[in-house]
Amino acid sequence: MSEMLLQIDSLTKHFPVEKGFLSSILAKESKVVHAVDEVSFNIMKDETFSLVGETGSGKTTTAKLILRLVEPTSGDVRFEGRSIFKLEKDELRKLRSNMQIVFQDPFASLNPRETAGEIIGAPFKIQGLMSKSDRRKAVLELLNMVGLEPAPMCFDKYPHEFSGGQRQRIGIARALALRPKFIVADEPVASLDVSIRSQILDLMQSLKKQLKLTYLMISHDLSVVRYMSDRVAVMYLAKIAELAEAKKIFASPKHPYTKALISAVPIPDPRVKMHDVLLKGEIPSPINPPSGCRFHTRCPIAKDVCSEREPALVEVDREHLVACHFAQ
Amino acid sequence: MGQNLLSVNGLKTQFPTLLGVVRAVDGIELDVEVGETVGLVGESGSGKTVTALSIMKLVPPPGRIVEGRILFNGANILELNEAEMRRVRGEKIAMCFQDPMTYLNPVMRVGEQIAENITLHEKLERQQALGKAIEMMDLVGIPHASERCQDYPHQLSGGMRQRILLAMAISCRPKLLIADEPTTSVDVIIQAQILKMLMELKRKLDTSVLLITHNLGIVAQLCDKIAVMYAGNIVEYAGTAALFDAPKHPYTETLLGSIPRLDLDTKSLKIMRGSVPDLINPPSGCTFHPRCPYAKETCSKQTPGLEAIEKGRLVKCLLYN
Repeated sequence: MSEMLLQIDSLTKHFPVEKGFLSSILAKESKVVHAVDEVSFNIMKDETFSLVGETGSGKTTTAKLILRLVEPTSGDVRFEGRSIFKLEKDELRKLRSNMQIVFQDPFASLNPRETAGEIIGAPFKIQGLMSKSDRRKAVLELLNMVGLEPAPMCFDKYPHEFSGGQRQRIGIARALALRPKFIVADEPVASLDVSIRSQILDLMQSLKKQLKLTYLMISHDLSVVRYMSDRVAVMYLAKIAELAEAKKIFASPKHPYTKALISAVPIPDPRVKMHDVLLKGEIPSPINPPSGCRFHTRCPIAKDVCSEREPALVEVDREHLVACHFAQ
Repeated sequence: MGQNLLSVNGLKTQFPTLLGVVRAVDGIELDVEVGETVGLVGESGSGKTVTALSIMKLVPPPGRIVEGRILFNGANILELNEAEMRRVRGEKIAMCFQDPMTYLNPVMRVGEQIAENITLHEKLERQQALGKAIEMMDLVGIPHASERCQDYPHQLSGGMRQRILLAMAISCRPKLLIADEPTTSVDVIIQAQILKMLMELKRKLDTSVLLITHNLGIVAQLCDKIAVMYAGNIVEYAGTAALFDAPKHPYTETLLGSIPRLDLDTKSLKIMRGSVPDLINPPSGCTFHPRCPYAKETCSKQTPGLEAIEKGRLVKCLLYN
């Protein structure tokens, strides 16, 4: 039985909307952007858990909250049983060596004025535990681990001297430096060429086995999510719509939104025809989310109760949770 | 057998730089028949966007077309002067670009921007042109078009902005629409809506489409024929079903094998070794040979030609020549 590594408990983040001078005098209430609303789930040790959703779903903000890169409005995140929001500076720094992130954009996330060696060595420098020569050894080992060879040569190169895929490997090496238990991969291959993606996904899989890592992957690419994930949570407008094992959620989705998402993806096989587009319109504003079930404005099976009462996220099948009054 | 609306022969487009000449498009053949949707598939550096810009004669200087012919309805548009080309561009051949925020004027209302393209090609009063612009916005599925035409680009969502770009492109009912990554910047549900609308538009306006993308799912669903580009060359050209059933070129085969499927359990992914080649000093012989799982010695010495192995199937690979 796998142990729980992370517990996310009713996590909420509202961002204040900046108002003009007149509106702050005339308007009665401040408006907020509902980025994450009462999101709860667990991440088990050694699993790859994915958060999927479109823009504005809250998946990236959720990841940032889990890493405490953003402070929550309410709710809790517990890592190995301890609340991360209650930790003091020193304890937080120790925690940070256990929780790392690989960013989406291999260009933007690397300092163009630092060599690969300096970028990957930075976590060691910040933790202040190693001598320069020990640091160099550790960085060379990491370069080899992520397939950047010959390591001594790559050590001295600058980001612009590497290809996109190689830069992403640098980002991964940096995340691995402190031997974390948990890594957030935020759209790890979205910015890479299609043919390079499999190299990086493969690398992530082998590193996961080798170093016993737990991944939280954020992605909008359902095919990648299906390939990489053990469990998946689908988010819509700051809430979880469905949560289940990857195999189950893609083979038999229960939430109408999940069904629509899956049917919208064009399959790279002309014999598998695309279904009709089920959803009309666009995602509503996160400042004024719809009443009741947030999806009701676009839902093909919405009834009256859907605009009145918000459905709870409940287990409808073994380990398969859905937030829908009419989930089948 | 359809008639060729567009026929690209031996096109070479190059960019001189301080480090040497970038051979962005290095001798390609491409046909689009009347009523067809042709997919041009490739990754970054393949030359697909430069191909589109060459067809539109919009290659940014110092880049220039150095060789080849581009026949549109039989006439070589490379021989037209700029005034003549302006009557073709936007009216007969139109292009829709990838990133709406870059290609829309932020200080001009969207209706006016569409109308602007119309008045460039047709003698219409401003009000009439605006009326047509609203019609176009309706056609591309923008709700409440008569009100939205007054909006500025920043007031619209990404999906709506992409539809405005499409509306601009089709405003003069072009015979050929070149759509360069028309859905890369939008979410998957909006993508599905836009692609569906694009295909309906094609039927309604009787337009042929050259669809440029790296997304193999999109070309599988929408295209009649597919040209696969790599490092400035077309390496494979086939009907869609034939290409996906049995890809011939090693690049195509590895590419198709490297993408995970949403509808199936993918056991493992093919890995494409190495990275995109230097277009200033491309590899000798076949440009793909350093990454090819089937490469032999001759592949680094001899450059294969794009040759027909069956009717309607072309491959640029020594395995087949």
